[in-house]
Parts: sequence; structure tokens; C-alpha cells
Amino acid sequence: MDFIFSIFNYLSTYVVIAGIYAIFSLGLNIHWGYTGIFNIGISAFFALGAYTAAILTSATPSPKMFEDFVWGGNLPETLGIFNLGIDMWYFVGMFGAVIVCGIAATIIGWITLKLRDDYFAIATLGLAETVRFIFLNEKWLANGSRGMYRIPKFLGDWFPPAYYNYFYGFFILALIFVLYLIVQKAINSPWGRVLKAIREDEIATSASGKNVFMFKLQSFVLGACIMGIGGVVYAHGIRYLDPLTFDPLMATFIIWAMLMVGGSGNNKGAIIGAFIVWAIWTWTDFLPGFLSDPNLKFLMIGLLITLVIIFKPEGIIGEKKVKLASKPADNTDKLSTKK
Amino acid sequence: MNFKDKITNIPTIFKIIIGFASSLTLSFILGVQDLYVHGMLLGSIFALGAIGITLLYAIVNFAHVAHGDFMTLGAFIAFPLVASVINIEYVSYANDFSFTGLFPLLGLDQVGIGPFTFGYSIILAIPLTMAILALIAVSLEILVYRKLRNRGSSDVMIAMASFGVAILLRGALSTLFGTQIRSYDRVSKPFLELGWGIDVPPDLLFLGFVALTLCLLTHFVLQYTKTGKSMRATSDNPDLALVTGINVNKVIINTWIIAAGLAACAGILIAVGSAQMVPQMGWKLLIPIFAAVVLGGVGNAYGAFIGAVIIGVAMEVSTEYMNPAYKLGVAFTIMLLVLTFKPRGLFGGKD
Repeated sequence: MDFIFSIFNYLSTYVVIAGIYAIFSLGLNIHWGYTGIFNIGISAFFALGAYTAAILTSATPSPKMFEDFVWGGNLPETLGIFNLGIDMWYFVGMFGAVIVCGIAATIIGWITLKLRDDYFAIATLGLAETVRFIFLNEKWLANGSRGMYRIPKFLGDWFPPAYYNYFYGFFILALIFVLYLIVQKAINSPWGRVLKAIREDEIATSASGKNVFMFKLQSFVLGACIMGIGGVVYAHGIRYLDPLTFDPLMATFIIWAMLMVGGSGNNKGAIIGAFIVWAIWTWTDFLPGFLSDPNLKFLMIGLLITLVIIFKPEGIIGEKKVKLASKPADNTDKLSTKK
Repeated sequence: MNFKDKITNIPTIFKIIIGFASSLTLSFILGVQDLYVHGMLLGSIFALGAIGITLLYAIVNFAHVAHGDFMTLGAFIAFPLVASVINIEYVSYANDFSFTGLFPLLGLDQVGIGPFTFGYSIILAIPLTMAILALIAVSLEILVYRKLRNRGSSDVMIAMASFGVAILLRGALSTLFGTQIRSYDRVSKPFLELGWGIDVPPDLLFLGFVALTLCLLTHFVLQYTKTGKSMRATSDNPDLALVTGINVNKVIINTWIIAAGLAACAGILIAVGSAQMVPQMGWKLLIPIFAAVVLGGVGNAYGAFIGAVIIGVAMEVSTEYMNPAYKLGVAFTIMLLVLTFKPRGLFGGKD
């Protein structure tokens, strides 16, 4: 009986973490899969979302706990009367995180999205490192390297701690479903079709009267906000944050591998990719000796991304081919593949 | 060259000289001349990386995200050549064994020649490492990038592939060497007093000298050899270069050789200068190096050199006024400012 229980425990933890990654992967899919903008600073929005939620909801620091940060929003206490039987502070914190991520994305996007795509990539990388350094060095803001550790649980009173992950796993799956519906709706709207047009041919889109820069900016901000939500879910799920959490490997590279494996340009693929790659990542822990070395997994992530780009750029579930009402001219394919 | 060209060309050099002289004077007034000189020497090492990236931009037309990891790889290729004890720790908890590096095995294990902290082995290792890394870069070009180009992938897709390669290289290094801090064999040496309140470690002078020599060498290759001329032609107009009979694939391979060679040298110099190396150092070096490239104008090798020196100076001088941990933030802020107000860089480049 204990054995079965531990398996269920393991699975619930797996669902929680893979689900959190699926949210990031969904956000990245808007950037790369649909708009073709190259964001290598996912960890910036992860960190901003998670830290915003943690700072807003943490209790006021007390000198007894040797905490260095000066301000905790203490939302669960202050919003007590509006609780409506459910922890509304969670969604208020999430709203705050989305706002912060949106502002950061707007600033970076405004400066760099007018320029070449690769400037944007480097700017996101710079943002990620800068955000990490700020949270590491500004102790008054988020406790520096000791991290934030008294982050409240969502609906923590309803479930005993042993069963909490079951609930949170289901909650995350529901959240993924809602986000999936939202993104799917957005992508299938005229707005989403413009994004795909930008990805395929920026100049032609611009020539047909669309403001390419504004569409790219909106796509970047939307994706960044979804990543911020992922950060919030992480903060209240794992309940411990320190700057090492936002190391590029676990907060950027692995998410890229998930999207590339699952299939960029397909939201289902993005979600499934997250579950597959995280399964490989954690289940190789059971392999003996050398094979479970974390550095070797790192190598495999790089190899996976490179091989997918070379041999199967569409991933496991590629993007659905758009059915055209009228047949394209015969030479269209040749033209598009010619460099 | 007509008269108008002369007018527009000369002031650039004057501007650089005036800017250099006035900022140096200002640093004396503020009392940060020490940091200024450090920054210049450090910047000339960054320049080795920046020139490589900017040449790849100019000729292959993509952002080489793996360049920082090329530098790390250079530092780590030299490691088994010069270190006297090497633990290859391929699992973090067991099975470590150690052996002696190549040059110490041949009797070159002396460290601390003259005022320097290192031995002759480093000087010998630099050209060897440059050759090895150039070989790796060329094989990556043939295995990965050429395939993607022939398939007609977009520039961003190729940059994405280099991102995959960056993770791959870093993962390979941390699998082989573990993630702990390593350094070449060294002995501590006192700083050199140059007068006027400027103290520099003698190593840094040597490193700056090597970096400058290589930059000058690159200049001569680009200006006066056939390889360099065909590279510049391809950069200006790839289609025209193709119809005039230049083998573009060969030009691209030459570019990779130069870029990787410079990156390897930069990696070793940085590992010597900071007396430490970790597999993740290259990813962080990417920010100042790209900032230098953007500042100098993308595709402009001379701009990249000046940009790197400016970034180096700015990063070092900033430590006087703020937390040294924000050095990278300074480089990043400069890059954002340049992208906002002068996206083509100080000296003009490709869009």
C-alpha cells in the first residue's frame, strides 16, 4: 500500500513540475512557434513572475527569521475579508506578476523588436542575466541568495500537506487547459493569422498594410505574461525561490528543448513536449551511475535541440498545414524553398 | 578616393583619438585611471570575441550565439595541454582519475616566468588551441550550419541552431570537467607599478599585447590577402561575389577559422587573466561581446574592436561607483541605449 502511495506521490510531483514547464512552453510557442521571434531569456519572465508573486504574498519580514527583505505584501492577510471561500489573493498576486512581466516585455520589445531578430535575442539574454543579478544582489528586495521561503500555499487550508500535490496537479492541469483555450482562440483569430504571416514573410505582411512591429510587440507581451503566470504557479507550488532557480539551464534551455521536441507552432505539441522532456529528465535519475549525471543530461538537451533543428524541425506534432481555398500556383513551393 | 570621402574618413579617426584622449584625461581627474587601463586591456581581449562575431554576422549573416561557449571551449582545450594535474571527473561523485598534461609531460612544467604567473606552456598552447578550435568550428559548419543554409532556413533558425550548439558545448564541458572552478597552474606575482597611480598585473599587459597583435594580424589578413579581400567582397554583396567567381562556401569556412581562432585565444587569455575557468563563463561573456558588436556597428570589424575597448572600460570604471556584480548590467544597458538611439552603431554597419 505504501508502495502505491509513493508512486502516486511521485506522479503528482511529476505532473506539478511538468505542468509548470508546459505553461512556459505555451508562452514560448507564441514567441517562436507563431511569430518567429527568438527569445532566449525565458528565465527573466520566470523570475519576474515568481518573485513578484512571492513578494506580494509573503508575510511581512520579521527580525526573528533573519530576513533581509524589507517589504512583503502579505496579501493573504490583507485580502482576508474578500476571500469568498477561495483564496482570491492567489489571483491578485498572479495579476500583479502579469503586469510586471508585461511592462518588462514592453520595454525590451519596444527597443529591440524594430531591429533585426537577433538583436532581440541578445537583449532577452541580457535581461535574463540582469534580472538574476538584481535579485541576487538587492537583498532588500527579495532576500538575496538566501531566497524567499515562506511563500503561502494556494488553498492550503483545504488539503492536508500529504495530499496537497494531488490538488495542485489538477489545478495546474485545469490552468493549462484554460491557457490553451485562450492561446488557441487568439491564434485562430485574424490577429493570430497576422502573427503567422509575420513569421513566414515579414516584408509581405508589412506590404499588405499591417504594422509588423506592433503585432510582434503584442505577441511578445502576451507570451511574456503567460510565462509570468508560469512563474507564479511555480512560486506557490515549490514555495522556495532563490536566484539559482533561474539558472539558464533549468529556466530557459530545457523549455526550448520541450518546445522543439513537442513541435513549435502547435500548442498541443508545446504541452506534450513539456511532459515528454520532463519525463526523460526525471526518469533518467533512476539510471545507474554515469547515466544519471545531471551534466550529461545538459549535454543531451543541447544535442536534442540541435538534432531536432537539423532532422525534424517540425517536432513530434508539427503545425497543421493550412488548407487554402484555391490551389496555389505550381511554382510556389519551389520559390519558398529557394534561397 | 575623392575629396569628399577623405573629409568623411579622417574625422572618424580624429574622433576616436579625441574621445580616447579626453576620456583618459577625465579618468585622471576622477582618479579612476587604474580601472581605465584595466578596462582597456580587458576590452582588447573582448575584442577578439567581438571581431569573430561581427565577421560571422557580416559574411554568414547570423548571430552566433555559441561564440561565448567557443571561448570557454578554447580555455578548456588548453587545460589538458598545460595543467600538471588534471582530474577528468565525468561523474560528479565517483570514478575520478587524474593525469598529467601534454606540455608538463614534455618537461615544460615551469610556471612564473619573469614577472608573469604562467609558464611558456601557455604561449605554446595558444596557437595549438586556436587550430583545434578552428577544426571544431569547421566541422560544425559542415555538419550543422551548411545543411541548414542549403535547406533555405531563415537566419533566425540558424541562430537557433547555434543556440543548440552552445548548450551542447557547455554540457559536454561540464560532463567532462565537472562544474567546479578550475585554473591553469600559476604562482602569485606582485602588481606592476606604472606610475601615475596605475598598478596592473603583469599578466594583463601580456594578454593585452597578445590580443592587440592578433587584432592587427586580422587587420592585415582582411586588408591585404586574397582571403580577406574575398571575405570583404562577400560581406558587401554575396550575390555579386558569387558571380565574380568567389567560392562563397570557402569564404565562409575561412571566416569560421578566423572567428574560432580568435575565440580560442580570447578564452585562454580570459582564463589566465581572471585565474579561473568554469564551463558556464562563456554564456555570460556573450553579453559584453554582443554589446561591443552592436556598439561598433554590426559587420564592422574595426568598430567591434573600438566597441569592445569602450565596453571594457565602461565595465571596469563602473565598479568604482556601483556594486561590481552589475558589470554585465552596465554592458547590457549600453547595448540597449545604442539600440535605442543609434541602432547602426557608432561606425555604421549592416542593419
